[in-house]
Order: sequence, then structure tokens, then C-alpha cells
Amino acid sequence: MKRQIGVLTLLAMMGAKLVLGGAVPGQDAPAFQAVDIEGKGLALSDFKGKYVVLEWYNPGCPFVRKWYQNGDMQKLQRELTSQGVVWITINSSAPGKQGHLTPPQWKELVVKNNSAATHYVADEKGDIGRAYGAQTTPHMFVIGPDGKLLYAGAIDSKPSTDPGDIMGATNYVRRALEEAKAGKPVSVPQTKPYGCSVKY
Amino acid sequence: MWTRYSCCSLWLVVAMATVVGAAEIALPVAEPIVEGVSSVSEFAPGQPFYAGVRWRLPEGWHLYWQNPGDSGMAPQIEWIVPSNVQVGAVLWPAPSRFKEGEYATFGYTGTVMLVAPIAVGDAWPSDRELELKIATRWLLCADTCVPGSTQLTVTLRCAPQPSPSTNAPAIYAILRRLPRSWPRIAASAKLSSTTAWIRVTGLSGLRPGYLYPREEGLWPAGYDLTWNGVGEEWHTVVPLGLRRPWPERIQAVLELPEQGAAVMIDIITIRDIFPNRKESSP
Repeated sequence: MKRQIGVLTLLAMMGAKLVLGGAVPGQDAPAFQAVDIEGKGLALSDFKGKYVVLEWYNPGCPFVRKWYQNGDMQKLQRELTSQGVVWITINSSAPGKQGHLTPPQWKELVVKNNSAATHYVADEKGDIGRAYGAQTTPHMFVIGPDGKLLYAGAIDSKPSTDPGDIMGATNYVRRALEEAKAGKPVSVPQTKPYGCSVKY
Repeated sequence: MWTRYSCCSLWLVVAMATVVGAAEIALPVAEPIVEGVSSVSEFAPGQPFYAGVRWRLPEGWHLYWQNPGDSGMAPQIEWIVPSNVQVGAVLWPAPSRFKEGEYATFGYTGTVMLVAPIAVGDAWPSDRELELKIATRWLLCADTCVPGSTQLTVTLRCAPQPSPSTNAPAIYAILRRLPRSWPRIAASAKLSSTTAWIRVTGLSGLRPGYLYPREEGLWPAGYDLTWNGVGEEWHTVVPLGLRRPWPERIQAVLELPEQGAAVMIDIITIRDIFPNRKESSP
């Protein structure tokens, strides 16, 4: 009994510190407002009624390059946005940190990469990244039409920098969207993301 | 006849692909010196030795531990050896923790050696050289990350008695410092729905330091754990990571900062921390 009280006290004492930040599948996705690289204001609430994909991005990260160098990410962006999904690519690198892009630099990169996201958001203060608990690039989040988070984690099941691994991997983003659209619960709502650290 | 051994899943060695997208953002130069190493220059059949890979890392860059932490990737080593040669598990030195804001990774800086025990069968012909082929790939990170891969070959002559190589002192220095189990230490984890309460006894008066779980996803690497207690009993609470279900037994490396050393501990899971809670809850 004494031991159990000790444990309870300890847990209560430490409780506040044990609450980790980050978006939790099944709960409301953290609201945010931003201005994209075209200067257009947007808010997550603008997309109520639509599926939204958030992609954390850093142009110098080899895990991100794995997805862009052969056009795989761009293909996925086109496939999903053509179905009405809103795809927001977010860069949380702080100014002066690795991977930071000014809007003109990023616009040039979008053209060069033939990217097909709906919006590109420079999250220089890292507020959106911290609200979601974005810890790697890439780190993917899928939000349902009701604003609830459906999926958080890795883009696929093969953590590597090798583009050759993309073909045989399970794409968790596509699967979460397919399951949700079919009215099924998302079978894998959260995975450990893989990639480079986010340069807040 | 060759046998493949891998420290992780089997994989194919691929040449680093040419970067075509985002071509104007050059990858930084991070070229470690990577060599195959062996504790012997001549081996004797039936007498095990150690072989593996040595990375000399550029300053400011780190290589990852078997659990890389919140980001990064563990180095992978695949062995291709003749069928009458046995390769044991890679022996991972105790890692360091690299904190980056709220997150952290586990790994190594400087010169890193990952070796494994090698056993050659007694029937090895005395005039035959032994060729150990090692394919490895890794990720180096500083403020950005650069992947690398190579194939190495360690060729050793057969002799009636083994001869130590020039790398033997460095290899044995690493082996002496590997985190080992102490029979007196006992550790358990009691789980609640969101946390694990970890209790360690038998540290002989030493203060525990950071606790590195060998598997990923048990608790967030970025979480700064705090130990409470004195003398023979220490406890800490960690938030549960994504790993479900929590394993019955986990292995972790416990730093002992006062000793400048680390021990390997087995943490036994004790479930149902509040077994009566469900019944008593409304």
C-alpha cells in the first residue's frame, strides 16, 4: 500500500512534465493560421469538409530527397490533390538554420522540383511544427473533413534514404486516406516518423 | 558457398543515387574514413576473433546507435562470409545523447568501431585465406544529414596461432568498455496508460544517469528523465512512446556518470499498476 501511494504521488508530481506536445490521432488537429509563400493567408479551418495532408519538409534532408529526386512525392501530391485533398507542405527551419528558405528561394524550388502541393508554408517560428509535434522531415499528418487528426507519423513503412525502397513500402498517408474515405477506421493511426530532425 | 549475416534486415547494397531534384542545394561534404578492421592479422581455426567497421567521422558529425532516438538512422552492417564461418551480433558501445530542442538522438562522435565476434570452423584448410566481406550503409548528421555506403573486404591469412593486428589494442579497449550486465542490478517497469515507472536497485551507491532503451519507440529520446531516490533504490517515470504493446522485457544501457561507464540492464515489465482501478472507477 505504502509503495502504491509512493507511486501515485510520484506520478502526480511528475504529471505536468509528462504531457508531451503534439497532435494526437482521434483528437482535433491543432488549429493554425499562416501565410503561404505566395502571400496568401490560410487557416486550417478554411479546409473544413476536406481531407488535409501536412508534410514537413527540408530541401537538404536526404530522407526528403529520397521522395523528391525521382518525383515520388510530387506524384503522391498530384494523385491526392486531384481527389480533392488539400496538401500543405511546411518548412519549420528557423532563419539561419539548415534548410531555411525565403519565399523566392522556395518558389524557385517548387518550379524546379515540379512540386504539386496546394500551399507551401514557411513556419519560421516553428509554432505549427511544435503544435503538431513535428520531429522529422518528412513527418506526415492526415486530417479528416471533421478536423480530427486521422494519422501522424512516417510517410511509409521503410525508414531509409534509398528511393528504391519506396516501391515495396506501405504508404501510410495513402492508406489512411483510403480507409477514411471508405468509412473505415484508420488501421495504423500513428507511427514513429523517420528522417532528419526539424531545425527549429 | 557464402552466408549472409545482417545486423538488421537483409538489404541490397545500392550505389548512392545521383541527386537530380533540388540540384542547386548542394549536399555538405561529410566523408568519413571507413575501413574494415580485425583484431587479428592472422587467424587460427577454432579461435574466435573480432572484425567489423571503423568510421573516422569529420568533426561535428555523428553516427547513430542501434536506437537512433527521435530522428536519424542506425548504421547497417551485412556480412558475406564463407559457410563455415559464424558471425555473432554487432557489439554496440554505449552511446551519447545529442539534444536538439525538445528532441534528442543517440549515437557517436569521433572514431567509432562496430565489431562482431567471428568464429572459423576447425576444418579450415591451413593454406586458405579468409575473406570477410562487409557491406555497410549509414547516416551521418550534423545540422544536416548525409547518407553513405560502402563495401569492405578484410582478408586474413590462416596460421597455427593467431597474431594480433595493429587494430587489436583499440578493439579490445572498446570491448572492455562495452555496457555489461551487473548481476546485482535488478530493474522493473510498472505501466500506467501513459507512463512507465522504472525502478532500479543494486547500483552499489552509484547515481544513475541517462537510460538508453535498445529498441525504438519505448519513450521519447527528447524526454529528460529525472531519477529519484538514494543508495540502493532509484526510480524514474517516463512517458510511453508509440511502441505497443510494451514488451515483457526490455534491455537498456544505463549511464553511470560517476564511473564514466555504462551498464546493460534488463527491465522486467510489471503490468497492472492499478489493478483495482477499473472496478473502482465509475
